[in-house]
Amino acid sequence: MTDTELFSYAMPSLGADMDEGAVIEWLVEVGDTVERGQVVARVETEKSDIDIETWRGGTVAEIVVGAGETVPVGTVLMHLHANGAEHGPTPLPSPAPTAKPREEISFPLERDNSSRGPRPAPADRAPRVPHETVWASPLARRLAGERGIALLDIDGTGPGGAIRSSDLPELAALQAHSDHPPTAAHENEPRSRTERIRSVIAVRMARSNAEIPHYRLQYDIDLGPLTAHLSTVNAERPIGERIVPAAALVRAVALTAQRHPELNGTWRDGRFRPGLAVNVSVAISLRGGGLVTPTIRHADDVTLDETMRLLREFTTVARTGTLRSEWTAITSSITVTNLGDRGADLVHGLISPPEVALVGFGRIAERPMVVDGVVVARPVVIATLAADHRATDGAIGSRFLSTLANTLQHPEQL
Amino acid sequence: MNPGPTEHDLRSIVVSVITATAPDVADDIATIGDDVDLFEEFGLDSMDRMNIMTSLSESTGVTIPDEQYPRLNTMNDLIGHLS
Repeated sequence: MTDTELFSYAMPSLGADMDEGAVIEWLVEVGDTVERGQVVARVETEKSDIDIETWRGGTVAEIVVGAGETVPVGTVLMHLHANGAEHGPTPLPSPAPTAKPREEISFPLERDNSSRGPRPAPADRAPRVPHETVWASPLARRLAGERGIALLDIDGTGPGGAIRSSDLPELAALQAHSDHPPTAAHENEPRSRTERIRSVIAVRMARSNAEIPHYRLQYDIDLGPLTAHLSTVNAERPIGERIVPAAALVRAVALTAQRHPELNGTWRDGRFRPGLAVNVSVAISLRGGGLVTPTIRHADDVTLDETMRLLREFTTVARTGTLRSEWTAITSSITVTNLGDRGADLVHGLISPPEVALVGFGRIAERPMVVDGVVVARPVVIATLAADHRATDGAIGSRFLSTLANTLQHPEQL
Repeated sequence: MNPGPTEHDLRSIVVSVITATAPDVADDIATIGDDVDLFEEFGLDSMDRMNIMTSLSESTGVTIPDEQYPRLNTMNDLIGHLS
């Protein structure tokens, strides 16, 4: 790093679905000194509003994209002088490939692995790779999903071959009468957060249901040991440090996923890619509809207390509408959905692509169980697994649930 | 009974705690009935419940044992326990 180094800060990819984002607000201005990890702007994506951080410290030299503008992922948002060097009319170098923050593990997913590092401007991107890595605007993706159009079959005319809504054949007639570029016209329509989330869920779940051959298993798990353990532990703790069963369930899934790598990863380009870490996404439902899925990075290395702390934070923050980029900018390898203490008995969920497994928990309730030959009432949770039959078969899924059940019989080891 | 916060005070505390935990219920909580299950009505989950119980306990100094959580569902339940 030299005193004169300028680096470009680009719109990060904040989730597998994100193709573009709108800068809502800049929290820094030209001349400000910023530190690595500092939140510099708030960005609106299809899913939620997200605070984005810089991974390099320096002085803000230029803000390229103004508040209110929507730009594709990878577009340079601002330039920084590293180490507070003087601003000069130096031609900008290519984004530094070494500027990679905290996370050392990178996932081989083109649309995700540079999410925390600068990436080339869209025009410089490598040609579009077919299959899961199709670039398309959110509108194009949404409309294609609604109309059952396969994006793979379309040649995009946008940056880097990205598919725009106007590239969709069935839409040409609809858009012919528009005075404005159809993409911009549609995408500028104000939509509520719920509507945005709804449309993301619509596309993702339609894709999941259409593409993934699910198999589903269920397992009644005795939570007697867990509830007894938590009662003991919680009785000794101040109320703010107590643990709820939901946190233990997430932790148990993380440990189980670590032991069953066949179900921890993604299905892309016709084959399974094992996750390089156990990154557990947690579905959090929002009042008024929709859900968000923040991710616990390296969840198998996160203690139960820390899991609990994160889940509390997720729940609170999800309700305010702004997630943090550190929760969304990583590729999740498995998802947990929990209906909570008042939900239905069990959930047969849909896998969140490109993952290959979803673990669901219903309500924990007293149910009859046979213990040592006697029918007794025990706190039971019905765990379900929805898994991608392309990646695994029922035997593996069954072993996964069996490990999960076994893990929960030893709550002191969570 | 120990002298302490009035029912009115406690109601304000409950409202502010729930609103802080779940800002999206702010408009509705003012008009909700005292015997309506707040968690059911507002779709609050176990994490919300834990956050709310923690804040209530911290705000009032009243201990809320773990096993009481499922029994404290309405405004009346909560005010009753905190009184």
